[in-house]
Amino acid sequence: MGYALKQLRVLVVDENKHILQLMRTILESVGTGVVQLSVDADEAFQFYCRDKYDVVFTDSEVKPISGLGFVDLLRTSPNSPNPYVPVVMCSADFDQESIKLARDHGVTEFLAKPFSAETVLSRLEAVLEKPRTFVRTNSYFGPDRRRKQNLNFEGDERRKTKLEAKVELKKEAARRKKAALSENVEAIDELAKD
Amino acid sequence: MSSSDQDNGTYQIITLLPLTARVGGADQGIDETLSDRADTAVLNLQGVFLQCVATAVGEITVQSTLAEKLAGDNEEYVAEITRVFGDLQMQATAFGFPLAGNICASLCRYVETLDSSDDLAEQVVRAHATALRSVVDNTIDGDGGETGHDLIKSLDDLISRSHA
Repeated sequence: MGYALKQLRVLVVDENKHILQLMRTILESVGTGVVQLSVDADEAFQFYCRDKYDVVFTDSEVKPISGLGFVDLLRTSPNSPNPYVPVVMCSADFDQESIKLARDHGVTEFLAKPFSAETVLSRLEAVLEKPRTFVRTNSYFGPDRRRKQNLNFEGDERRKTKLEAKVELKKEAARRKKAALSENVEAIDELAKD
Repeated sequence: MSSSDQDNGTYQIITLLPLTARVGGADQGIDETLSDRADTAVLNLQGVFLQCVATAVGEITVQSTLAEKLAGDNEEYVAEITRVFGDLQMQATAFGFPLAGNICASLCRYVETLDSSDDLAEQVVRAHATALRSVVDNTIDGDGGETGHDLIKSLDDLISRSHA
């Protein structure tokens, strides 16, 4: 018996309609009550103000105002119905700089693309179970940027073990596939020589 | 929303109530059966994507042969390549096939650089189709590592030669 996600309302913003389809599939598979999709940050903010959502997943490069601009709207616009909403930012190219910038704009969690059902659901669990304390200063409003780490955790790591096993299997399969692919590289090189 | 606030004048700390209250209580986690169902659904979508690629590659190969034979106005065919490979690139990105996405992006970039649709080199299209088929046949769901890098470089070389 797990969470009754039927009560949950999730907003997903991404320009790529296939990513939206993937997110809808994952979230609806686990019983999420409402999954609202949008390809545009302005439209998404209108949805957010009108219907109020519990969790927001947004790509870092949504148009026309960028993912960070969208997070600014969620956090600081007087029209925002809930400035504390957990925001998970998704991107294919996170680096230290972009993560720091996103954190300074009030992003709660990060999700690297391409993602699997497991990674999406692990972020969803994180925002459900561990709400971040919010901080308001003259120059910042958003989740506390300091993370607490419990080094004395002694519980079982069932989920982690399962994930690790899957990753190992995938690595082995990838090794075999790469060998097959290299044959085609040679064929294309031959074509380039003709 | 907040369970307790602290305000010292310089900063305010707001502690939020966990959302678990809305979904039936703390520490239950997401039902593993449902989580597995999500996994399966994603695999199904990936399977649909792989099928789409195989179909698109087959169709493009046929059209490419036709275009070569007719050697006439192929503006529509070029537009079709951009549409199909542009969409496949987005799907590849979504479903975890970055190498397939890079191959599609390479062909789209090539088509964009053409002054006229008549300048399209069929061997470039077919090489991309072959490369894409190889990725799909071997379900290479990563960037392909060094081999993937070599593959993209080979395609780039072929494009350079076709412009020369």
